[in-house]
Amino acid sequence: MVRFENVGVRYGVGPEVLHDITFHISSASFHFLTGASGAGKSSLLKLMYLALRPSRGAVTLFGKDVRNVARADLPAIRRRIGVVFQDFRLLDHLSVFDNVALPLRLAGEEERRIRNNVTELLDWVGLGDRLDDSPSTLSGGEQQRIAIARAVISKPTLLLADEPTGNVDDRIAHRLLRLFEELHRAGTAVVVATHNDALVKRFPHPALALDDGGLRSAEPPAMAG
Amino acid sequence: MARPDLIPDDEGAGRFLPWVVAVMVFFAALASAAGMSLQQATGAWRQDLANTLTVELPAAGGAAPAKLAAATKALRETAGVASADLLSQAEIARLLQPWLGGGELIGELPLPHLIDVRLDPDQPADLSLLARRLAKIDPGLRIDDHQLWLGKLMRLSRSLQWIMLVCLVMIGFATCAVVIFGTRAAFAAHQEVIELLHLMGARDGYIAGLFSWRALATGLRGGLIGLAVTAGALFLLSRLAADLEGPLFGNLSLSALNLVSLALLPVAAALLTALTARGTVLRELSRIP
Repeated sequence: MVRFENVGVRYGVGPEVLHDITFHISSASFHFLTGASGAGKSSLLKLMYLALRPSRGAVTLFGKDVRNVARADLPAIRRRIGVVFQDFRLLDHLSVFDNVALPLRLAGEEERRIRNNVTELLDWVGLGDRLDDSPSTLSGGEQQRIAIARAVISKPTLLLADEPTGNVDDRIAHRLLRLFEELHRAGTAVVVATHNDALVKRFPHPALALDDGGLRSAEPPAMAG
Repeated sequence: MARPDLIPDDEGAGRFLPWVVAVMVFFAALASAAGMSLQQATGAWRQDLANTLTVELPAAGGAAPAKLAAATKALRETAGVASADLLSQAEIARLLQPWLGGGELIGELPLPHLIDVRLDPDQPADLSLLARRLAKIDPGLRIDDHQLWLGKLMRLSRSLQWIMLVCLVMIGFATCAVVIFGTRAAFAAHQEVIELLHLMGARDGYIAGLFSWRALATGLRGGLIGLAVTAGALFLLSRLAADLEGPLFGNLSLSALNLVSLALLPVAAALLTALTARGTVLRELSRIP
């Protein structure tokens, strides 16, 4: 599903922030992406959700080398990827409902179906009574649940979460990880970037460990979830 | 539930865009009206002067009545001449009245004698033969087929129309420049929203559409304001022109087709605004990987 071969990334003319990254993630797997702050976790995720292009090497998503994919075909690939951003990136000028409905509307789903699915999912994450509120009026934990709901509403093939537990206490962090595991069991490949080692130890999933822009441990056969 | 605007309402440069478009449409409509009015007028002048001649005998010279009668007779006998009428001094004075006034001055001036000649449009007259016949009666008799004057007038009119066209093109360029500037500012102001939509799989055309539909509405709103102001200005100008007496201004008017063209200017402005906004957004999006 995701294959990196000797990937390097540099911003402008600076040094490489990622170098010689090679790994493979199979479908319906669950991986942690670990590393200290500044190790390159966000850059690696950006490569996976196509916000960044490698300076060298090959990135293959869903069997397609992204270097050879026409710009017009990239949106279809992006729609198969759900992203939980570290800073949530919720749109304050839209209601909670419209934020979560966004991926479905971009995919051209019917409005009636959008209403049913979004309402059901927001009920499930405990925000069924906040449909018309602005995200800015909600707490950090509630905003995070909206961000996760938005990332999973379109049942993505690949879910990427950037430090999703960074702003919540341990209890909420565990609940979130349980939610991601449920999605994983439903067939979604999940990659969770975190620097919370305690959390990684409690959930028995393989980890891609980044250290100073390089992949310290990546054992392809063992990583397939 | 109504679909929300994914791009927030603009509170920056975009607020002024309808007014900029209104001003541009106002100038474009004035230039167009002037150009179309001139075209209409030159057509009318050409129509009026086609198939007409004026034969002139300068005021100085004796035996004028006999020569004029002979000339009129010769003209009427020439093939291709439909009619030839000697104008009385009173009629000539009336023609000069718009320029010289109706006072005693006209009576004191040595006015030439004029014969108004109408040609048969179906049977071209031999003007050189006519000139030779008239020369035999009096070498001072001169044929004026108005072509020299008409040619100069046409050249002036065409030049003015080209200037109007250049004005229109420049107004179009200025409008595009303003829209590009405004759209870039809006794009920069909403960069985070746009990037999010892009990363979620929104097509470039979809994002550009969010801007271009808004620009279309803005352009149409501004265009209609500009057209309304133009309508008032043209009404005022037409009233002022109607007060002027003279053969030139009498022909300055707009046909129904001209008015329809002017009414379509807001639509053209809206389309130009929308297409420019779309192109600008597509160009900006191409810089996002």
